[in-house]
Amino acid sequence: MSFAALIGALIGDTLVLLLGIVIFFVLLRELNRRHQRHLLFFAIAALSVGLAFGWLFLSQILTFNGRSAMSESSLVFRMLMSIFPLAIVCGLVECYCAEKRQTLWESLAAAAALAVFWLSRVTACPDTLISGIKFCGSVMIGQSPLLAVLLAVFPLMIVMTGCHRFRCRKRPIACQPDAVLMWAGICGLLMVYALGVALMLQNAAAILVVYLPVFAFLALLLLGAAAKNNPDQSVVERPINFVRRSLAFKVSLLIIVMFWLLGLIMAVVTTTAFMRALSNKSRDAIRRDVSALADDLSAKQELLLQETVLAAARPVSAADAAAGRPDRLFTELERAYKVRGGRLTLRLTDAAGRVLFSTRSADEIGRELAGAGNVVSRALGGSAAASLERDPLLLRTVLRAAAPLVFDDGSRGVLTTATEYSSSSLFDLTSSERSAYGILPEAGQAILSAGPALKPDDVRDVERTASGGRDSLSVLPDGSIMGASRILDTDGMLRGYAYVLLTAADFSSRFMGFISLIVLMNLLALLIMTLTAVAGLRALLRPILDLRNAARAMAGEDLPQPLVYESLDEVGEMASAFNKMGAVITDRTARLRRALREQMDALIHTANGVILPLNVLRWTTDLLRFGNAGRLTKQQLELIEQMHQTNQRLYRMVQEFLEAAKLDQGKLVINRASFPIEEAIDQAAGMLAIDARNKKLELVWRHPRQPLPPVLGDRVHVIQILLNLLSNAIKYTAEHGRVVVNAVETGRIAPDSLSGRFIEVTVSDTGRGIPAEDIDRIFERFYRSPLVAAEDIEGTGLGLYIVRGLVELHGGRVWVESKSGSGSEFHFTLPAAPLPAE
Amino acid sequence: MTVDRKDKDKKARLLIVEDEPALCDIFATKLKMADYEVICMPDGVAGLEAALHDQPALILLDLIMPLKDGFDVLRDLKLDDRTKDIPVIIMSNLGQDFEIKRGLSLGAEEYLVKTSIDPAGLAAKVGAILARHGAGPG
Repeated sequence: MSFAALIGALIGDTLVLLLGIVIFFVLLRELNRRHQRHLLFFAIAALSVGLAFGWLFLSQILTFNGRSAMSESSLVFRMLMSIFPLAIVCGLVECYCAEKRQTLWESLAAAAALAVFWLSRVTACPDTLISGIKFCGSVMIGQSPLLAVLLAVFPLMIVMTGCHRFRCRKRPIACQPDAVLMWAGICGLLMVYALGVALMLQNAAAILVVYLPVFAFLALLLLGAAAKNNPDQSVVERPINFVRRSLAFKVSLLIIVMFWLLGLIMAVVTTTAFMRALSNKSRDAIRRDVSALADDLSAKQELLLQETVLAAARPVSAADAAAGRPDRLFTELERAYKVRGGRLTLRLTDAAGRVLFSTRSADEIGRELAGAGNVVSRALGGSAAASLERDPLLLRTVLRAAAPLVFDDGSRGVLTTATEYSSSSLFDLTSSERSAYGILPEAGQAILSAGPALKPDDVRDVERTASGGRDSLSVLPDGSIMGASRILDTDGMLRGYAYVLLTAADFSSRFMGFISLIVLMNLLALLIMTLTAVAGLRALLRPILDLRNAARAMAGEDLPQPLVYESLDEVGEMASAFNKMGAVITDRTARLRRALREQMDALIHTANGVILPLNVLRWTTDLLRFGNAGRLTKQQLELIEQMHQTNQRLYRMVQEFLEAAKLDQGKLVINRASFPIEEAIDQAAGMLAIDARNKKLELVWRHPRQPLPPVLGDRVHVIQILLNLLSNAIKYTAEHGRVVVNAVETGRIAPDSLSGRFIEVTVSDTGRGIPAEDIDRIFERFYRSPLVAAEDIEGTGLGLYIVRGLVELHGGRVWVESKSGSGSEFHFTLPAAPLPAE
Repeated sequence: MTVDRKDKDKKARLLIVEDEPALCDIFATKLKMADYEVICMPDGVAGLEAALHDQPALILLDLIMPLKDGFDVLRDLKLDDRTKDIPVIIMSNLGQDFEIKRGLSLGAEEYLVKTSIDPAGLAAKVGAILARHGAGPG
């Protein structure tokens, strides 16, 4: 058994359990925040995997404690592992399917998971030993239907996301989550592949490798799915932002990683120490047992021999013996032996080897009695002897002693005693640190044994170990520990070996029990620490979160709301400073707004007041121009014409201002009608034709080949939009430039949004372009680029503001594409009139 | 400024508003040959003034001119009761569709693009328009 593999498998189990639980809670939090159902399913998947492996781990402790929990555990494990693909499939369905199909697919997935569960219930496999760790075979291999489903799920995932990617290639912004999901699918495949390989190799190192894709798969799945259904655009563009977004999340993650790293180090250190202690303890116990075994046997032999010799020394009448009445002798001997267990047999033999008397028949005693070289013949030779024998016929182990005897008539004989033993009655071993033990004769099979039988190789190992001396132990190549000792006869002859064997599997299961306990404790402590830390952090970071929300609200249009957080710490200080700042901003904003409104009102009032004098001026100049007040000289006429034109310009500026004010106050009324956009462009371009020519510009109106569908809008205002855009283009384009206007039908209101039937008009020029820093502001009221203002180009800064207002009032969008120095392109869309019913 | 006044009672009077003297001369000569009285004006202001006071039967109007462009002149002509019924022929370098539409929408009778004007046929065209509008200015 490999120690590293054992630790690795345990750590792997623990990690997956931990990961499952952490992901579950993180996802639940996201779910609460965003109400996306797919997160719940992924949370369940993560939790089921975590719990399944956790249960596997727990079941190992239960098994060690003597109760076979494996059949139960495999049921739970399978159930949990069947939930995993179910939840994965449902989560993916939530990600991809429209509302209607979801129920169908989810019920299909549930049915499949149920089928997997029951299929795996009936698949039975033998227990498997993976590098010394006992796995219930049916737990791992019995999951083959589950593996099949998983194998089907992941390629499906890759295909689905691949299709999505292909479809959304036109809009690559939404593709990042699909890429992440695709990688999750690939990791899932790797995970299944690695699991299969690990099972075939039956190698814990390979099992360890499985954890890596599990880790990667769950993490990527989580990221990709969260990004896919996340309304937060920054997460969709860069899924990693999901992790980056929250300070609390980051700090918690850091703490979790630190705690768990520490925990793992602690677990490894403690288990290593325990391993050493346990190993030493086992070795000591084995040594003790071996010597006890050997000594016990020698002592018993010695005792029987002594008793036999003592009994043989008593006078025995030959006549009594021949008559079969040595009762007195036997009774005494039996009494002496009673306490020692075993069944005593007593026999008297004459010098020729004939049995004079026996308490049991020859068959019961065994054949050895008759053979040469045994204790009887040695006793006949004049010396008492004892032996340990195995009766091959009756499969009994017999301890035998024989002593020479002189009958009262002077003839010689032999007294033989024998006791039979079963292993349990022979050995009284106190420790349980053994898988097998027994007595091995000098050659041949064990004569007394318990536990698994020795293999021929092991017999050689016993001899080798015993030759090393009394306390010698050896570690066999498969990791088993063996202790052995020689057993010597009363006359010093080698009669056999006593051995105790602790197999690697038994040792590891004992070891497992300890380690499981340690790791479980470690795990519990870490969980409690982590949860406490995370909860504490959340409480600590809440004011920061509130501060963030308040600051975000303030960055928008909202007025700052006061924060409720009173504390002496830095955050409390920050909150109170923020509140003060907020109060100042609220006050200033209110004052500014009021002042701005008052100013605006005054301006509008003034502008309205200016209209009448301007009209009077116009009528007056008209009277003069048309000669109604007498004929003027040429010079007077030219001056009046100049005055007239200036008046017109002034009038238009005031009108523009009033229109912007109306837009602002929502008072602009639009009379919608359908009309061809070509007409509006004809008119607007015609009105500016001479301005363009005067500036030596080419004003080009690219007519569409086919007539466009009519637009729905207010003709006057649409012409106004075109005039503003065209006059801007003419204004900001240098001599010999080009201003081009064209119109097309389009399916989108703007490049990245809503679809429908729209007419898109583009006004492009070869002018100065718009600097990047101005591009976001050019549609603002009164905004004029500092560059333009510096060059003293005439303008009110209201043209584009009115354009945007009017376009949006029509239900369209306006946007600009420009690079400083290389011209601008203004686009706007207007809704096409609905098709007449056919 | 050249003002020719001959046979005041018989000949129809035409006003040419054109800032290019050479063109003005050519058109005037051709039209005089067709027995019209012709007044030439070099800019919009003078053109409008002449239209108001001389009451021409028809105005030939250029568009790109100093002081006041042709469209402005045309609009002013249509504003005043004395001139609003005088047929106007625009003669211009601007030949794009929208420019022609603009001229016609302001009330021009005919829009001639200068590059394709045949000075010889001009008189016939003027005659046809005058015939359509009856004897002359009201």
